[in-house]
Amino acid sequence: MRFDGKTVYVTQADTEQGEALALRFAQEGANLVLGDASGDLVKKVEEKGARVLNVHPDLSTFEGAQALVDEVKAALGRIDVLIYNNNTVVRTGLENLSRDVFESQLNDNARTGFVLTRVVGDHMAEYHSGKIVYVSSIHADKPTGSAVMYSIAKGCINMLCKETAIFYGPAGIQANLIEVGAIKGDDEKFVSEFSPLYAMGYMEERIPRRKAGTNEEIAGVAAFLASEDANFVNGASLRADGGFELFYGFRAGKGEKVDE
Amino acid sequence: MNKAFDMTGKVFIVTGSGKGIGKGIVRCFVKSGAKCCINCNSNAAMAQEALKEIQAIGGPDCAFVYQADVSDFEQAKAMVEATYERYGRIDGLVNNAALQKQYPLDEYSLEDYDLLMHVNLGGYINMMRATLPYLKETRGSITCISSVHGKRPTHFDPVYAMTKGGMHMLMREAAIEFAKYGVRVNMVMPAGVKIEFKTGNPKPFTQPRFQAPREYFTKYSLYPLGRLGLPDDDGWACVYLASDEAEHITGTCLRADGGCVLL
Repeated sequence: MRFDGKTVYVTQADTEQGEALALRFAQEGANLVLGDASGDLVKKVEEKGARVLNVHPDLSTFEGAQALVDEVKAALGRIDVLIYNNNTVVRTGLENLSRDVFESQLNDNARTGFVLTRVVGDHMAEYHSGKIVYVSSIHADKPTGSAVMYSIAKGCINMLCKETAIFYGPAGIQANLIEVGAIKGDDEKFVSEFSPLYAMGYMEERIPRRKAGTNEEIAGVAAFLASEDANFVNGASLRADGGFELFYGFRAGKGEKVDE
Repeated sequence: MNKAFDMTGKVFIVTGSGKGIGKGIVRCFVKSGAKCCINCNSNAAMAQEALKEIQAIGGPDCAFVYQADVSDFEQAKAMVEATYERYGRIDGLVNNAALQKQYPLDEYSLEDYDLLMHVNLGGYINMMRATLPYLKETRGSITCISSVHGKRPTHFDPVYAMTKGGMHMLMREAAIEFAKYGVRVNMVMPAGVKIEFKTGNPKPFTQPRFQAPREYFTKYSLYPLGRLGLPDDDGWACVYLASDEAEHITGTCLRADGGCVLL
């Protein structure tokens, strides 16, 4: 299997996306380090035959992240793959933006990524190999109209991924990013008064296959980027949204059923 | 006076304009007939020199200096109020005040990370929020100075690039959120610009780790047009984006880099 004997660290594993990622990597033979996972998830992942380390790191400092790496090394050995899966959405516009949301959104979705990238990057460099995958969002490109700080943080991560790709590339590490879009429930999360992107009831209409994406499908993309098959993919943004972002107002595709 | 774009009677705030790109932006607005608030934070003496230079172009009342740290919302707000009190209206904001530190990824301190996020992103947001009430009255514009490093990584300052990447999304979100007020939000993206000096930096590009491949820069120019950018290159881009001629332009990014990112 692709990840036999490898250790994969999934951050923010207590989310639906985190769970799908953990189960996918476990199914392909990996051992898992899970950030703040529930007891249920740990059990499910162990049932797939993986060894699991549930961690609650302090990612506000390099020292906190280093302590996490040391803990993993002692329990499972080196980290082969880092999946930065932090995606906390707080709905806010600029006009009503509070200082707290500014700080917390940048911290949860970008600063922790910077701290982890640096510490785990240095750790991977010692072994001259490793993969970093940022599970990001199409909102690193397309504005939401509903969660300005989320988009800004995704813009930051977009550039962090590219910096990581060129900085840690010589040390045998590849860093890539998934621009996730239009997963079931996103329309409730991002519905906006300024943008029809997530107009309620229409999200799936925008996707050429007329069906939202699943967390499992995203996990599959992450597994590809984390695998040996992606050794020559570095600093890339892979949009995984079923073509959602390409929609321009009409449905006229091949095989379309015309409304009576 | 250059009246390609007539800005007579209009008022602009340009952050970080005591020197460098910001000063060039003020120069272009004043040459077009506008009045400007020159903002500086660390170097008041240099901003006073800039003021003299600008007044020589537009007369004694065409500009004034206001010292404020834009990463502090209260100071940003006080500057905007002072500009309104002085000139009676505000037609546009140019967000330009930003820092760069030039450390590689594994040498960056979190103190510097936080500083850059608070100035480069927080400062831009503070100024947008403080200015918006006045821009609603004039259906004015906001222009953010970004960098080619909002698209292309740097190697020499990963956090700078992160803030510029965030800025791109800030500009796009603001463009759709403020559109209902007729307030347009755009961006100018320079590459290297020839300026007096930058503050807050260690010795730029002198670290032994920042090595270009042999003959790389001697054999090829970084810029197809054959020279570094000048502050006025970005200044005229800002004047255009703030002008009535650009009234249907919002959420866009005007790259003024001499073709740099094409190479």
